[in-house]
Amino acid sequence: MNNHSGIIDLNVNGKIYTIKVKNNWSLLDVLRDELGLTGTKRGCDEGECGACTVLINGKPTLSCLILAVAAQGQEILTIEGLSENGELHPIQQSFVDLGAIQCGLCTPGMILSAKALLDSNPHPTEEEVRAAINGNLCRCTGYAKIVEAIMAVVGKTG
Amino acid sequence: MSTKKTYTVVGKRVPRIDAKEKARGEAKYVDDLTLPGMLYGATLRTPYAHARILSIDTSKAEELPGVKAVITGKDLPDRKFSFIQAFYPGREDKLPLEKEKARYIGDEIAAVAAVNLETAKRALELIDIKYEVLPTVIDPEEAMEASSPKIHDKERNVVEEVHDNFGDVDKSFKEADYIFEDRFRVSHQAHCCMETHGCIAQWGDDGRLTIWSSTQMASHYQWELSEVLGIPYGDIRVIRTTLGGSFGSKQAMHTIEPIAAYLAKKACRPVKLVYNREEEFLSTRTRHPAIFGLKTAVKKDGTITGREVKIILDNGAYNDMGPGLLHDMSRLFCSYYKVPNVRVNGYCVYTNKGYGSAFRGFSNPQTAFAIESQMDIIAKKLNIDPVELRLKNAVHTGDVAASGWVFPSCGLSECIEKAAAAIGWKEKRGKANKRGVGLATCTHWGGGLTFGQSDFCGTIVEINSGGLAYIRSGEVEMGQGSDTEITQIVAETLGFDIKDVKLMPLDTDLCPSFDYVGSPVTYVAGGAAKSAASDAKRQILELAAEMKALNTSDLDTMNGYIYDIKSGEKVMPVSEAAHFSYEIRGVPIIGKSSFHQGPTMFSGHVNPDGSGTYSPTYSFAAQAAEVEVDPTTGLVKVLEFITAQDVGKAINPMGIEGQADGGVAQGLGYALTEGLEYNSDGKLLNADYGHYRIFRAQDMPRKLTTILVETEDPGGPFGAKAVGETSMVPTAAAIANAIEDAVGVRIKELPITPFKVLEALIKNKKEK
Repeated sequence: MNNHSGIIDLNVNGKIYTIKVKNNWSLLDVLRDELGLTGTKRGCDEGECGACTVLINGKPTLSCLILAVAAQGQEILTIEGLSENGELHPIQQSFVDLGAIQCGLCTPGMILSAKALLDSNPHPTEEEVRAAINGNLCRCTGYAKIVEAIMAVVGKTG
Repeated sequence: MSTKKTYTVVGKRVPRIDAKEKARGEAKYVDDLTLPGMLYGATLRTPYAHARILSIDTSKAEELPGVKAVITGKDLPDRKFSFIQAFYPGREDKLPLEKEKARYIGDEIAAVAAVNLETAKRALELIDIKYEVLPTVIDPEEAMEASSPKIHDKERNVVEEVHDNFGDVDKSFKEADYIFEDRFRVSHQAHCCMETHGCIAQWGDDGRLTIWSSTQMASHYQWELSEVLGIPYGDIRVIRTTLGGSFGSKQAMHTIEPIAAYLAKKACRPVKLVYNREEEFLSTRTRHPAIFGLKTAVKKDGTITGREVKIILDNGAYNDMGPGLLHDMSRLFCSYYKVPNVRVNGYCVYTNKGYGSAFRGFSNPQTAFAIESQMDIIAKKLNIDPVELRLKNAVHTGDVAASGWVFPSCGLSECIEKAAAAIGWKEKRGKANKRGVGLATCTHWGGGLTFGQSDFCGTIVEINSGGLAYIRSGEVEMGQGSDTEITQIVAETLGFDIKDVKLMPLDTDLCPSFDYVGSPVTYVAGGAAKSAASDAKRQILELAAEMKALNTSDLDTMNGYIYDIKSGEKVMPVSEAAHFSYEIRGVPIIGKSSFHQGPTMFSGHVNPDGSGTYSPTYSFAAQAAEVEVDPTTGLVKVLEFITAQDVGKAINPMGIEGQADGGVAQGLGYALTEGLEYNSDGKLLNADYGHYRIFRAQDMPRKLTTILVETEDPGGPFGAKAVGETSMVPTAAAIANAIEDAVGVRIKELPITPFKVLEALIKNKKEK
C-alpha cells in the first residue's frame, strides 16, 4: 500500500465492497463516484447542509466529513438500503403521501436523519423531530410537511 | 368560465408523480450522471472585483498529466450574451470567459477539463494570470456618480432607466392631507438551491451539441447557447435533468453551459461541469438589491391618491435580467392598490459585485417591502387600523390600475380579511408587550408575463394504442410540482385515471418550445396542456362516434371509458378506440396546442399614455405574522405565520400548501437572516451555509397555515392562476410590521438582523 491509496472494505447496506481508494477521499466521494450509489447527495461538501447524511452504526453522519478509510469496519446505511424488496420504508411512504418532497435533493439525508431519530426514540415530540432534522437544510418545503410526515409515522406506530 | 364544479383529479391532494423515485434516492440530478469517456471541468475565477487582465499563461496547466483541455477567453469567439438581449438588444455584456477585464470576484477567466476533478482543480492552480487591479465601486449610489470607476468602460454605470408617469402626481401631492416620504433598502438574497448549477456537454459526430442541464428554461437555453456559440439553434439539444431547486437561478443561461461546451469541443470528449457551494454563492446571481425613495400622498380618510418612487436597482457586474426587471418593478409600483397617480424614476446601475437575475417574486419582494411597510407607517400616523387601510384602498375584480393592469379576478379583500382573522388580529394587535402581529399584501402576475414578449408554451398530448396518454410539454418541473399539476389537468380533461397519463422528460428535440417566467407555469403551460388534451379527446370521441354511428356531441369520457352522456351507458374503453385508430387505420391520435396570451403591453397593446397590462390576470395574497422580540438580544422569533392566497383554482392543494410553506421560509430568511455581505474590496464574506443563514427546521414558526381563496379566473385552466411566487412577496413587510407592533421600532432595511433591532430600540429609548 502506498502512502496515498489502498484497498479497503466498506460495509454499505449490508454488502461488503472491496475497493481501492485514495486516503483523502471522503466517504461521500466513494459512495457516489466509486460505488455508483448516487442517492447520497453532495450539497456543500463542507458539512453544513446535511444532504450527504448517511447512518453509520445507526448514527446520522455527514459523509462529506468522514474519510472513506475511516469508515472501514462500520455499518453504513444509505438511502438505497432503506426500502426492502421494493417496498418503501414507512418514513419514505409518509414523505410521499403527505407532500414532504419537492425538489428532492435534501430528501435522502432528511429521511435518514428521521430514521435515526425514530430508531432511538420511537415517540418523539415535534420539538425533538425539529431538533433531529435541524442539520438538514431544505430550501423548498419550509420543513412543515416534513415534520408532519415524520409525526405521522410516529402516530401510526405510537 | 366554470362554476363551482367538483372534479375527479383537479382539486385533489395528489402525491407528486416523481415522489417515490425521489424518496428512494433514484432521481437523477446532473451530478449523478456520467457518460463514457466523460471529463470533469473546473473554473478559474478572478480574486479581484475590478481588474484589467494583462496576461494569462496556461502552459503549465496544459502539461499536467490528465488535463485534456484548457481554455481562456482568447479561445472563444467575441460573442457576448445576457438573457435580456432577446428583448433589449445591445444589452449583452458578458463573455463566458472574460479576457480584458474582471468585474466581480467570481468572474470566470479560464477553465480546465481533466480526467478527474482533483486533477482539474490542481491545473487551475498552475494557471498564471497577471492583473492590473482597478478601484472598485460597491455601492450603487456611488456607482451613479460621474467620478466612480466605470465598470464596462462606458460613460456611466447606469445601464437602464425607467420613467413611468400615470395620472397627475404633482396635483395629488398638492391636494394631499398627508405626505409620507420614506427610504427603504433591500439586500442581495442568494437562491441557495440544494443542488448547485451543473451541466454535461457533448458534441456529436454530426456537429450537434447536446447539453444535459439543471435548467429551468430548456428552450431558452437553446436560443442563448446558439447566440453565444454562434451555431444554429437547431444544432443544439437541451435535456433537462431533475432539478434540485432553481427559484429563478437556473432560468437564464449562466456561463457554465458555454464553458462546458467549449471544453468538450476542445477535448473532443463529454465534459461535466458542476459548481461547488462556494462558486454557487459567488457567481450564480442573486435577487437584485435596491434602494427606494417612496413618497405617497394620502387623504385624511386614508385614501391613497398619489405615489412618487425613485428606484436604484443594484445590477451587480453584468446585465442578465436587470434592465427588464427595472421596468417590471416600476409597473408594480404603479399597480398596487387603487392609486390613480404614480410616477417612477428608476435606474439600473452596475457595481463590482455578483450580478442579479430572476428570483422567485421577480422584483416584487423588494417592491412589496417598501409599499407594505409604508402602508403601516401611514396607518399609524392617521390612526387607522392597517387592515382597514388596505381594505379601503384594495383593488377588486374588474378594476384597472394606473399602470393599465386589468384584474379579471381578484380575491385581495378576501385574502386580507381571512389572514387577519386567522392570526387573531383584533385580539393581538396593539399590545406592545414584545409580541406583535403584522400584515402585508401583494399583487403579482397570475398568468403569463410579458417580460419582453408574451409568455407561451406548446404542448402535445398523444394517446397511444393502449389508451395511455403521453404529454410532451415545454414546461419545466423544478421541484415546484408543475409536472404533477400538468398531469392532473390532462387527466381531468381526458377523463383518464391519473396513472394512465405520463409526462415525457423534457428534451428540446422532442418537446415543443416554451418561454415563460416562473409561476405562470400553471396558467400558461396548464392552459396549453388543457387545450392539447381537449384536442386529443375530440379526436377519440369523433372516432368512437364513427365506429358506433353516434353523434360526437353525445359522447364524453370518464375513468378511461367513452360513454353516452344521455344514457350514462359505457360505449367502449378509450383504449379500444385508440387501438382501432393505430392498428386498423394507422392514424396516431395527437392533440396539439399552445398557449399564447395575446395582446399585452409588449406585444402591441399599449395605451396612448404608455400603460398596458402585463399579464392576462393577477394573483393576490395577504400574509400575517405573529412575532416575539427579545429586547435584550434583538432576536425575532416568528410564532405564527398565515398566508391567504388567491389561486384562482387550486389544481393540487397539497402542492400549493408546500409551495406556500417554502415561499414563507424563503421570505422569512429575506426578512430576518439572509443577505450577501460584500466588503469594500468586493469580497463576499459569507459564501457558505454557515455564514449565510437560511431558515432551518427549528427557526420556522410552529404554526404555519395556508388559506386558499378560489376566485375562479375566467382565463386560467379550470380557473387556476399562478401560485408559486406570491407566498414570499409580502413576507418581509409582514414581519417588519409585526416587529413594529411588538416593540415600536420601524426598520426599513433588510435583513432585519438582531443588531438592527437593538440599534433601533436603543435609539427609540434615547429619543423618549
